[in-house]
Amino acid sequence: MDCQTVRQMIEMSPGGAPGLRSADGEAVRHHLETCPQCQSAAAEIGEWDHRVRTVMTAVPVPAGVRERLLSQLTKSAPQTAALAGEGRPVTRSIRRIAAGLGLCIALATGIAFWVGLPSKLQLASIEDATVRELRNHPAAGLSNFDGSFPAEITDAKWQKVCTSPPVGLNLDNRSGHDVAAFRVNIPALRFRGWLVLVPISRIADVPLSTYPDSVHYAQTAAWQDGKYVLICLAEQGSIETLVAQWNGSAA
Amino acid sequence: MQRPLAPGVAELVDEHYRAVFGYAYRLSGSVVESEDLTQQTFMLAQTNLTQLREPRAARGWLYTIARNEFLRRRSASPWVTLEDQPEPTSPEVETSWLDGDLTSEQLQAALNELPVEFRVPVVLFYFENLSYRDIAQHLNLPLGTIMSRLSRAKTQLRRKLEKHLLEPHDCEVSQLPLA
Repeated sequence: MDCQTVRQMIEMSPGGAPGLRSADGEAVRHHLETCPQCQSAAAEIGEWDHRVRTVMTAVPVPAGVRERLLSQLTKSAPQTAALAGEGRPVTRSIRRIAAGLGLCIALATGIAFWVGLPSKLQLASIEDATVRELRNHPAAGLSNFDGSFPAEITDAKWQKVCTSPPVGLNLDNRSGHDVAAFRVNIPALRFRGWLVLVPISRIADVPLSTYPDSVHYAQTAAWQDGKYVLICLAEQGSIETLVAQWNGSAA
Repeated sequence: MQRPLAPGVAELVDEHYRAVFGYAYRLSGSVVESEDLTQQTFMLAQTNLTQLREPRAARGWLYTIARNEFLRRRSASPWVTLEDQPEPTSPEVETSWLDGDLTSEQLQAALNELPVEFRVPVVLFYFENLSYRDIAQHLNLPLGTIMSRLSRAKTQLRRKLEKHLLEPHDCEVSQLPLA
């Protein structure tokens, strides 16, 4: 084995020469015993890699990350289960129960689909899925709202700032859009984002008053006007300022 | 509306959240994004926990979820949100001085200058301790491509770090409270 190959192999192993296994490792070690230049190169590579690795893996974690993480996981447990349609069975009996429940849900969903009754959605799961969809697609990649419900904004203030036609999002993988999302731009408040309309009949937990939240670091506020649940998502600017400034409107 | 976590999730978090956060931070270079990536990683893990057959493989599995999520976001269109505003605090608490020079901050600054296609294999090599062959498998790329990228990436990283190490720098210790 020549010097170039030996050095390349040492570079490629995260543990340097000692980390090399099998016949290749044996050949490299044998070469190193007889080649001072490669010994020196291997030592230098090993030292550098060790320094970088030591610093690389030492990342301090800010306070509160664990608590926020557990809180978010607890909050999202029902919605992830609802959206993904699966939980985590831990024993055979639980698996059987889950399979039975899954079968019942599938049957119920099938019946609901057959009679044309759309399932109710959790507000948090709508906010979560909407932020994801809107964040991950360029505006041009979103499809125009298909008109599966009237999507009329009754509040004059919001009408003025929602001038372009809405885009539609399908959140439950059934036919038809579940929400209509209007682009919102309010230069006076340096606010930019989306106003999302969902028929009130589709929401399982309708907000009784303005309900501020934060989803994936996007500020949100949700309220209802008797016909729709309206969710405002901030891309830029403050929801709190918007709500304060527009006090007297629905928000 | 809340309900108890699925069995095993809290333990998974306790054991691995620091590592996943650190991994996400080295990939993204942003505290806010790394916390978001960490949350997303564990949410996906919670949903797909049945896929984890071998508990000892949990960390690698979580790293893979975090990396895929990071790459998915990088390939998607940028979304201007609050996290894109300047960060009020930095995670760059002084971690350790190695031979009196290389710091976490310097390393991250050098990593951030690498293009994503170079940065990702570097993080896999140094953070995950994977061999080139394993990295090629994880990223679904030919070994030759990985050899070439890592060779160039390591050279660039070393050059940038040596430049940083030669420059005088302040040893500011952030007041950010640690977990």
